[in-house]
Amino acid sequence: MTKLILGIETSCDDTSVALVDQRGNVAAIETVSQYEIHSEFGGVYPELASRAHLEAILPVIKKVMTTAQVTPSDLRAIGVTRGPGLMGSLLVGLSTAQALGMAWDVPTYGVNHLRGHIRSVDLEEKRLSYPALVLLVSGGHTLLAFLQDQNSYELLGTTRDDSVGECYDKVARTLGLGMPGGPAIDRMAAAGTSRIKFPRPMIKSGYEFSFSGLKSSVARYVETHAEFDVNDVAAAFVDACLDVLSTKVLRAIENKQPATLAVVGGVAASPQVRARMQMITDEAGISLCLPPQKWATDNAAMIAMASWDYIEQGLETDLEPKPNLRLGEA
Amino acid sequence: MISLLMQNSAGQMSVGLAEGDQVLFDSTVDVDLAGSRNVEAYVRAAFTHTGKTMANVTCVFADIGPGGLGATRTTAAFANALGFAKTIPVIGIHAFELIGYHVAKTVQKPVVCIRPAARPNYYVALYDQGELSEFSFVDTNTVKSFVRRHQDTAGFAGKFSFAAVEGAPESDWPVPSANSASMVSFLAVALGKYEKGMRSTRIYPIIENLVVTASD
Ligand SMILES: [Zn+2]
Repeated sequence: MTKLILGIETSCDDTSVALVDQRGNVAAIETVSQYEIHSEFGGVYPELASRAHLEAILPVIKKVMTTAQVTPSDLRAIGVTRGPGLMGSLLVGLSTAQALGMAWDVPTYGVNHLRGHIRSVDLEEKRLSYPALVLLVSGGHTLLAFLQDQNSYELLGTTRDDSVGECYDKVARTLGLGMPGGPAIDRMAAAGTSRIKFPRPMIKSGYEFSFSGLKSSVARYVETHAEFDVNDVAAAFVDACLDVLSTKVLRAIENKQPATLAVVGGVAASPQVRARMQMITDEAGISLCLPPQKWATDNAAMIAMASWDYIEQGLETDLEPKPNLRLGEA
Repeated sequence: MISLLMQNSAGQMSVGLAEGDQVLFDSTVDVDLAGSRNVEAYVRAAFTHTGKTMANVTCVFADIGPGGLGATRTTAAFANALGFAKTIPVIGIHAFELIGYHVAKTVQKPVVCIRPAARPNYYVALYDQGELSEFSFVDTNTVKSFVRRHQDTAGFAGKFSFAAVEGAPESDWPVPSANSASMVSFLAVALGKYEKGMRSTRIYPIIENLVVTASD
């Protein structure tokens, strides 16, 4: 039987487990969402998240192994997210993986969640050609990375405050739209016209992002304009986000000359983001890679996929939680 | 029966290995892992020192707090996964039963067990002849009056220190005798549970907000 990696992802509010072979084929995946648990708090409540991981993780592992008819002897390794993420949530995945590795005598690797997102592009089929630019936009992260090849990760820029996804959610709350905020904002924006001039933070230079000022501007506008049009505010907000994202991406395309732009993360589901990225890659004459949405959000298949790199490249890692791990680190 | 014992809720990890009622390995006296929080390092040390292997272990006991939540969660996740991987029972033990038993052995009277929770709250319970009663999550004033009520008739375990009250010096408050159980005490409590037929496959740390919800 082809050897598989058991991937475990518990960095935030989803308990996900997957079995993935070296070519990126997914033998089984199971993800338990904690959405219902946290929705009444309007955000992820860390204590409840780690408790929910502790309750879900072994049944999910059992289900995945049963589905794929896999025994511990079929495993090449266990790969588990060691960061970035919530401390208590990371601990559950790491301790579980550590004990399984010990009991089954299978090597266990602590994996960088961000590397997982980037490797998610090649799950089930090879989609990425190098050199590549990767834009990761989600509720948890916003970053732009350049990959000369599969083994070199250069972080060009990340956000100094909120992620794009967080900013969408907070603006959705300001506008009285439900959660999750992203799809609601996109729907409103599609029906509105961008006539309000919101700021485009840090657009003029570099690859760093900042979104909290934009979020505050929207809140201020709503406070001071009693009869604002929700659709128009949403449209102007999305326009500002897209201007920032696309300007940074274009700058990187000019300076780095990639063959492909890949857009990953939950926000990659946004029709507006997809359309804008299509436009700029068409103009630049490079290919755009938008992996299936099921691999864009947090999942364990991407962690298993990235684990294969750790084995091949002999990357040094450990099973200590690293809540602030950065892309350049293993 | 070969038991793996893990105690972590007092902020310092200790791991033991026992055969029947004999402690074969006690990390608090056998090895210096210098404050390491890596459970695997402790468990490996237990095997190295005893010549046993993971294949020999037939039951896992772990303390479930209340106490350091991150630490307790780490051992709970580890213990659960061992039980799952090896299909052996995993038995969770209330930290106050461990420290209550441990201190009661010496003082020969009931033991008030106290540990700090999120400020200004405390976990408190009374341990008497193998049983815990009045386990609750209370504020500072309540825990102080609990201490006063039992001060002349009980021993004290856990961790607490109150500022001096008006007119009374700080030394007026009792000092807890211990905040963790020795491996011998842990094993005695563990085997007691096992003999009573207690078996489970999953354990969960005691969390204050769940305690509050449960008593609502
Ligand atoms: Zn993520």
